[in-house]
Amino acid sequence: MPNVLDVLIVDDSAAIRKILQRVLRQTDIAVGTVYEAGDGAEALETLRKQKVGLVLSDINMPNMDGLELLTHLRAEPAWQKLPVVMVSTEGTHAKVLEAVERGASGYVRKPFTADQIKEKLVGLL
Amino acid sequence: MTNQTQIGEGLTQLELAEAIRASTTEVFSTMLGLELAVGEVFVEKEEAVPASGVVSIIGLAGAWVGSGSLSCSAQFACKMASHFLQEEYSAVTEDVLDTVAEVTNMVVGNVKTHLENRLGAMGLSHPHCDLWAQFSDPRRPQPGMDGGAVQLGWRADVHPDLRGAESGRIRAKRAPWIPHSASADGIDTRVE
Repeated sequence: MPNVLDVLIVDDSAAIRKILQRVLRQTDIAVGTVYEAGDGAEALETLRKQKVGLVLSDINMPNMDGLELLTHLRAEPAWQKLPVVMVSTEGTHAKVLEAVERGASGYVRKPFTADQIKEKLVGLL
Repeated sequence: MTNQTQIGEGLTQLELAEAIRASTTEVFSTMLGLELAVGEVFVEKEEAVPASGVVSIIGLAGAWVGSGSLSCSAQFACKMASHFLQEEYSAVTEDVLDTVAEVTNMVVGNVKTHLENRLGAMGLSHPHCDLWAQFSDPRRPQPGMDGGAVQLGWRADVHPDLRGAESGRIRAKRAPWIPHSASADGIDTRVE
């Protein structure tokens, strides 16, 4: 585990990306650079250029959704163990199960509190 | 006034109304730190039409189709963004529109999750949010939303100066191309 954790936030809402970034900075985790992507395709592009230690991703996004992103990530040996936490309004058991089956490391339902995000990350990292 | 009228698949107006109320208060409280006093959820017949404001709309698809929307004054949209992003907004910017869109996404998304437990899987479109000089008349029939549509609205009291401007609605009808059981089809879902 590197001392400083670079993070990628994937959400089509700039507002949510901003909030998640703020929450990350409030944790005890030493967060380094926070990269942002508006959809799964942009996220893959970023990950090919930057090495990150954590991904927070929405599910419903244009172009490539979060579940498809997960499938791409877990198909690549370099990203198979990369922690990916889904942050989504999708709250049915079936959707959570699908995310876990595709390799999600954690799941936080929107709306979320800062504490929920922090607890999830502390448990994961 | 909502009641025990069956909407479909054992779901009542009252249950849907409670889901809307719970989702709206949870999103505003958790994400914005605003405690809403959500007024009575009502079956819409006529709607007060604000002269201007921010409107956000999101589509529902699946066994049931429809839309959810949130409308508010520009002033309240700025207040939402200020709470959401913890920065002061006095004019409707992209950040403000994005905030209202995301709040709509969360409110309607959580209602959708509730509906999915009864009606089966549904999809949610990406929200569209804009500042309108004049709202279109919501009493006008919406394309594809004629006979058989359930239409519930709600208003929220947030601040005495803003009262009456904040409202939302969810319209939904069973998708005509999805086969249903005879008993379910026997339910008249129209709201008069």
